[in-house]
Amino acid sequence: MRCLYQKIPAGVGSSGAIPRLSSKDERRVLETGARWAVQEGYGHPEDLHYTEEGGCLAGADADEVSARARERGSTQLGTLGGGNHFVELDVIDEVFLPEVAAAFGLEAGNLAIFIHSGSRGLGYQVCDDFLAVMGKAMRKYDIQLPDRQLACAPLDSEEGRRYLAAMAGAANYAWANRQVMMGLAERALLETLDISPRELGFRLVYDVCHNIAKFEDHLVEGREQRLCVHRKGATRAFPPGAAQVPDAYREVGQPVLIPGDMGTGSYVLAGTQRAMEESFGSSCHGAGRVKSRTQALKSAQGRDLFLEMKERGVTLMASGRRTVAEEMPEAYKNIHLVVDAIERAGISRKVARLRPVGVVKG
Amino acid sequence: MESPAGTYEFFDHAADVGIRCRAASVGCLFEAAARAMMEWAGPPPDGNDPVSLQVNLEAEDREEMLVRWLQEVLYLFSQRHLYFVAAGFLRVTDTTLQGELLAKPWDQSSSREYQEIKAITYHQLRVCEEGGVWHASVILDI
Repeated sequence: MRCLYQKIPAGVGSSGAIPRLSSKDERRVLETGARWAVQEGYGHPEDLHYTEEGGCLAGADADEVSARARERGSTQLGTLGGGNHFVELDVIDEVFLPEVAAAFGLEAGNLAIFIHSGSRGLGYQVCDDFLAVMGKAMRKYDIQLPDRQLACAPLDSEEGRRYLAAMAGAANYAWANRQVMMGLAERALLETLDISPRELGFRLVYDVCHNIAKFEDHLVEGREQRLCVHRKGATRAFPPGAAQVPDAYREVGQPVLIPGDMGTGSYVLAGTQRAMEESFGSSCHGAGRVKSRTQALKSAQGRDLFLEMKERGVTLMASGRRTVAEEMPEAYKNIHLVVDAIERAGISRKVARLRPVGVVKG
Repeated sequence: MESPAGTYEFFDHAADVGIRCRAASVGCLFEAAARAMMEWAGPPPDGNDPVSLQVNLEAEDREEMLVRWLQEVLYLFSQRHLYFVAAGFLRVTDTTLQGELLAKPWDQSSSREYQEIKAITYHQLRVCEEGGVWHASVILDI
């Protein structure tokens, strides 16, 4: 865990995982996503088969990403950030659907690494920049909404097209970021365990976004329509047979990754046809909070959360003490109950449960 | 929480955190909001003399101006590693902000003290004057 923590910078404004990007590489990251990272030696070409959209959302335009966003992105590629972002080392504790788990390459007793991070400061800046653009656009198009954070513009307007091009750039940055972190994690394990890549057997199960707008075809009142599906705090959960699901998983459905709190566990599920009918092929992407951040801070007073985690069998490495307090296990809903609810609703099937043994937090 | 530039308090908002502040002038109100946000991020760095920075911002209205101001303070903190400690005289109109801010440099070795704030939101954003007192509320995306 120490090696993982050293290789993947975490916390406020973390930077320096890899050399600062040149302006040429900034553009390539924004327009080619995880492909750039693989070309630079992070991970393996086959990882792209197991990444949503092959790790590159079409339509990205680096010129729509502001200079300030690019500045923020130039030093942060390969970094975790803070808040609820994490790298988790898990033991595959229980397999519920052996044939699906086998297709995903998950075997009870094996280790897995779960990475939760995104487009870092670059993405936050794209959001800031376009909230201002959308504010003006709403006046221009006479759109009235109950809250200014719901800023929007017609998809086919100039503002809408510009935003989608910038958002695709941020999504590509996020895929590149996770691909670099995954490559760094593999190097950490190889160095620490002193074994060959073949012995380690490191491979990507799946990489998927949970905060993105995408154009997809869905049945609406019996008629197939092209929709812009915005998943915020939700993840894609496409069923067996869907063309967007990698060939190797086509018969079993898309892996649905649902992390819980840092002391309890995480799940891998598989998407279902029911999800297409009920939730536009979507599932929740996490447990969700049950305590506010200030409530969690109060609960943490006088406690040694690092020791508590150790007693639960989890080695915790964190750059921010307050982040650990705010992200304490009891701040989140019980992941087992959340995942059971998802399964009962029929929008995903439980494939495997993962038990954390090490966590890196920002 | 008392502040020379006004008063502020935090309030819970789902997974995020809100700031409510009040002050005698809009300039002091903006300074109080920035102090509150930085208090949430962590304590000011020890040592290091503050540096002075000129700020010139434009916005469509005063509420957007508060967001733009806090975005600037947050950018300096997370990207330039400069911790806001005080504002000089802030001249704030509905559409412009001009002034000076003082910020202390911090280095990555002290990042354990700090908490990441992702963004300033427009959700339930409010800036108003009531009975000669300026009030604001803003929610930070954590």
